[in-house]
Amino acid sequence: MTLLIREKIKSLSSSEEFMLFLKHKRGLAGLIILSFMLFIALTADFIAPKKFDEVDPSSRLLPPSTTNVFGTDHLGRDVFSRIVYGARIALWVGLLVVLIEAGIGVPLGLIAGYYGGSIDKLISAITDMLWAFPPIILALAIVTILGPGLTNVVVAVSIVSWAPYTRIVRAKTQSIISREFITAARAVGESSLSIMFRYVLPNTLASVIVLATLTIPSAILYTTALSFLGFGAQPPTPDWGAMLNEGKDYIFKAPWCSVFPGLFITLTALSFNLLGDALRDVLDPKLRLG
Amino acid sequence: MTRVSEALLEVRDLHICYETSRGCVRAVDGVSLAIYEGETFCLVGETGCGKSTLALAIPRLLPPNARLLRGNILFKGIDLLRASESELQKIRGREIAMIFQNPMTSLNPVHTIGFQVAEVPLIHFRMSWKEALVAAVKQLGKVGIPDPDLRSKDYPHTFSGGMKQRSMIAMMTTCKPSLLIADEPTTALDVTIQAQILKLLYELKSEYGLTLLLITHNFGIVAEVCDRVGVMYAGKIVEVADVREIFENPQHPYTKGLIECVVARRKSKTRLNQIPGTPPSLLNPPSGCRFHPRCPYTTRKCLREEPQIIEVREGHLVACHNYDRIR
Repeated sequence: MTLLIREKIKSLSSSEEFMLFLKHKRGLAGLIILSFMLFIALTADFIAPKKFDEVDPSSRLLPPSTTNVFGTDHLGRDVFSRIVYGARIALWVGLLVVLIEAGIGVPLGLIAGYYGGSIDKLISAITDMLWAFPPIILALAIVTILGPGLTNVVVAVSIVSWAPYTRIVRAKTQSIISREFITAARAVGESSLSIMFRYVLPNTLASVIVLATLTIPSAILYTTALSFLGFGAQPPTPDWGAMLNEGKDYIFKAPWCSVFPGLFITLTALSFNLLGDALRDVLDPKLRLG
Repeated sequence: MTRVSEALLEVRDLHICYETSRGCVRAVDGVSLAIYEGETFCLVGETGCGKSTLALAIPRLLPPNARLLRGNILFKGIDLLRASESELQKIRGREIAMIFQNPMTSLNPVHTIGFQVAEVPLIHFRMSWKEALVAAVKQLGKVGIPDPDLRSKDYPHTFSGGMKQRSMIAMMTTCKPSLLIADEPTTALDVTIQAQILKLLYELKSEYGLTLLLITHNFGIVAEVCDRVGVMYAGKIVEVADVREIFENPQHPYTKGLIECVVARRKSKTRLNQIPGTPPSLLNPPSGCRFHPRCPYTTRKCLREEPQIIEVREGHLVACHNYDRIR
């Protein structure tokens, strides 16, 4: 019976899956917010009224008005322009971190799941150890060693949070290699490497994509947190975390300096979370039935 | 049947066990058999008698918890049990191919049918991706997929069970292997498709000169396509003979029982025969002859002593103490 249901569900074409996604209201909301962020990031040069590092000492800490939509900061820079340029950094960093995490985590998971035995034990032990650390503290330690800077923050965040990829891909691999088509692949003379990357990997991709959309927000949150603490992007880079940091001294006098970057961080993280949940619902047949 | 040719495949005293938490399950326990070039050899037996394990052991595709304890598998003079993984990769698909029981799960759901069939010649021959794809489409047409050009671009979930099994056969025969192992290729299909698939296998066999090792529990299939038959019981071969000999003159009580189980067009309203009891646990098999708890001819000797396989007539081997008493 379950087999029958699975067959039925598998036969959903990608267009039908897309229709299901469109019916997913929260997912759609996430997609809209994300599209907006992408739009402002891509068109920042056109929609930003001023340059992000244009200092104007005569107009410091001005409240939001028609000329400065989100107000100005302590150096007289236009907060809206800085946020628009900051979207570039946030999205780019999120994507980069996830790519590096997947680049480390997925192959390790494949190897651990495919070969099993002592290799699996070793990789799993490393994964578990990493999991046991509070990620932000480990990332802080790594950045302290590497020195401040956006690149180093990206490296640090990637190093501390690839463990989920390994775990998920390992579990998926273990279930896939017990299936008959893997034996069939071996029966036609495929090598282990080919089986791992051309048979197992494509079958794990759905989970990896969902995990990626769900880890982008935490990647953005970690990098902005590190920037807030002064380890990440250095001034005058319009990083949202750095903006929060600069704005915190004026939080009562000029709350717009920190409220708007915070709002955009929240919205971006939220949009990815909503999107990831929707993708998981659409791509996972069991959740769809329930 | 006269045999002048050398054995294509020879299995000698093969022992395989599965390691489980409760101990070692001896799935194949001292099996020896020879398969000659160009013949169709059927391996028959109940579920769990070790026939699939034996089939998987030949191209060395056993799951990781299986242990090859001892024995030899000689294929064209090469001992497969001592071959390296890279040597095996060259043999699998090129020399020895295998078709599985369930076509629903033996195709990769994320690649197109054409891709999966083309993959095989691409591994074994020097050819471009385009040439491999052409070969794949040709082979798909040969196994009876309508519009192979178009259908090769489809994914497995759009194929029916019979079509999937045909694709599987196409995949396994593009390189024209010498030995094709078919592990219950029709069990998961409905009866009309079964006949078509068997016919297809038979056609391919005569066209390519394949040697076929067919594993089944269906005596109807045995009668239809086989040249020689080996009967397995609880990890051992109990009888080997030509197909006519098996049906006309079965010597082992187990073989006899199996044949009597087949629904035949005989006197109406007679109850269908059955073999009493269930197959023994291979974790702790019975002493002596493993069939003795279910055998109607059991003697004291059967409890103590394991019968050796002996040739009772030319090409007819049997492992029973009392074969001459059985009529």
